[in-house]
Amino acid sequence: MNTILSLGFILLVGLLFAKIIGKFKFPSVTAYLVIGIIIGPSIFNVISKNVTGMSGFISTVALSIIAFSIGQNFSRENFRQIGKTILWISILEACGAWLIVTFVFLVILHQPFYIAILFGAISSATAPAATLMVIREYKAKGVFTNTLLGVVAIDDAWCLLIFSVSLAISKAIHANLVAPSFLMQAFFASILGISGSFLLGGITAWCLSYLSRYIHTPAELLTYTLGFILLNSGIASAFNLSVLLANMVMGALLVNINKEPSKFFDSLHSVDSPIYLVFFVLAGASLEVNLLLKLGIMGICYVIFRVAGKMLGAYAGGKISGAPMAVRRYLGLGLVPQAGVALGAALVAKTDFPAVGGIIITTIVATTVVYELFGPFCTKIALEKAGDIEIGK
Amino acid sequence: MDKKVLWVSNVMAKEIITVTRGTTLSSLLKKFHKFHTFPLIPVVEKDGRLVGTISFKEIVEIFRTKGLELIKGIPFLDKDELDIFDLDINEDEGLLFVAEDLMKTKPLFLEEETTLEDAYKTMKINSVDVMPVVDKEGRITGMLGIFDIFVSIFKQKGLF
Repeated sequence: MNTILSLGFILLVGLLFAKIIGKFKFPSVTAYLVIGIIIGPSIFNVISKNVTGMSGFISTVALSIIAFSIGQNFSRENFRQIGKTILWISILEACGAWLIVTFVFLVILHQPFYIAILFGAISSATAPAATLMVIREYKAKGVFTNTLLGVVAIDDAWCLLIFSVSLAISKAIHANLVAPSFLMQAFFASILGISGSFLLGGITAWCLSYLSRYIHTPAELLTYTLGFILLNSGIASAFNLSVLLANMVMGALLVNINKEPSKFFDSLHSVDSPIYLVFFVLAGASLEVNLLLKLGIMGICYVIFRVAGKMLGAYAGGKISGAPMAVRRYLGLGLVPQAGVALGAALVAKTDFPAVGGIIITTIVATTVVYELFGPFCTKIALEKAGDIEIGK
Repeated sequence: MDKKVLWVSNVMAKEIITVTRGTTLSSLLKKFHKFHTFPLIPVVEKDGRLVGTISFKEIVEIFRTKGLELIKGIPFLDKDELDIFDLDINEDEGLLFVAEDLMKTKPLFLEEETTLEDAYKTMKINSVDVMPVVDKEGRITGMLGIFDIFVSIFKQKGLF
């Protein structure tokens, strides 16, 4: 299949499959992933190698848009609205999964630290779309639902932050493994990478906001916003900075310095759906079936300890902020689904560490399918236990 | 030929209806149900400072999911069609929900001393057809719609 035909095929088959499994109340992301696995090189191998080879490029573009959009969660109004309970729980459940998964991969699975910390960071992500779907389907209402919604809304922002920091540490450690004073070098290299990303995101946000006075039509606005996102990502890549962090900072700063920030984020809605679709299908196609058998204990540990970390972290956050007992006990269970941001992060890790990239992406794609199939069920149980939906509804 | 500059303050509607943060959904609907189409409702503090706006979209969304503002940054959300016949509403909610729960907290607005041309550009790029107008202290002083702009231009051209 040639490149154009492959892309057309991916878009139409992805859309069709999403519609079919939507009837069974599964999110579209699951459909895209599964169809990607089926049509990818591991099973039917029907898509062009040129297209699978483009997955790095497409995931960078998709992740840049995702990171920029997630940045808008850092508006002053949002922080006023979410309150301390959501803030504490979201930070601690993300950090809980990060620390526990890193620890387990390092100590129990004997993985090198630079790999363990990446798995830990990826595990901090959730799937807001899947959680929201369950909440809407069962018409859940109450304090627990509001807290859960607030936590999933902001959680992926913490994940991107944690992943960017972890990736910088991981790269620095990997690059300096042979040097005698590698710890200090690694520390300074990661600090430099992170602060450079902040600085770049800040500068581009200011330029984007200031120059927008010359933009007068919605069509120009889309071109302008997309142009700045790609510019930001391109500069970040050229200077070995974090594309994710630079774009998230750009979105976060823009939402606080511009008088009408929504227009920039809204303008992207007209193009983001097909980009996300191709991104997820190609993520699914990256799964290597032969590695799946080797996953075994690693995949099981990831699935179990990610949930354990989220539950412990959510409990701790709930206790510190004085949340009701139902929120402390069951909120972690509501955070089981994992999707887009985790996959994106895994694809970035694959690009930066090609030698171990296969096992990282295969673990994350396989566990995402598991989490997306069973996660919504866990969220439903959490909502039932908390009393926000009727049992057996 | 010398073209007279038109300002927002010359053209905007000055008689406006506002609500405060504590106005219940029930009284809000009573106040506006005789309108032909649902208007953009400005929410103001007691001193008239604009703190939010409510459109029909915000009212409907409150019955779907709490916290529309919070979830707007979530990527790849399934853009499901809203079924207004299947909204989960009970009669108490007319009194339970107040304007503060419904309103968009970072509202778009125009300043009085904006030219009509700039106001039109702002509306067009934000895809809205009505915006509240505020003075230098942020107090609401009027509302400006796209039609007001058209009428004033037609008037200036001598069309009526």
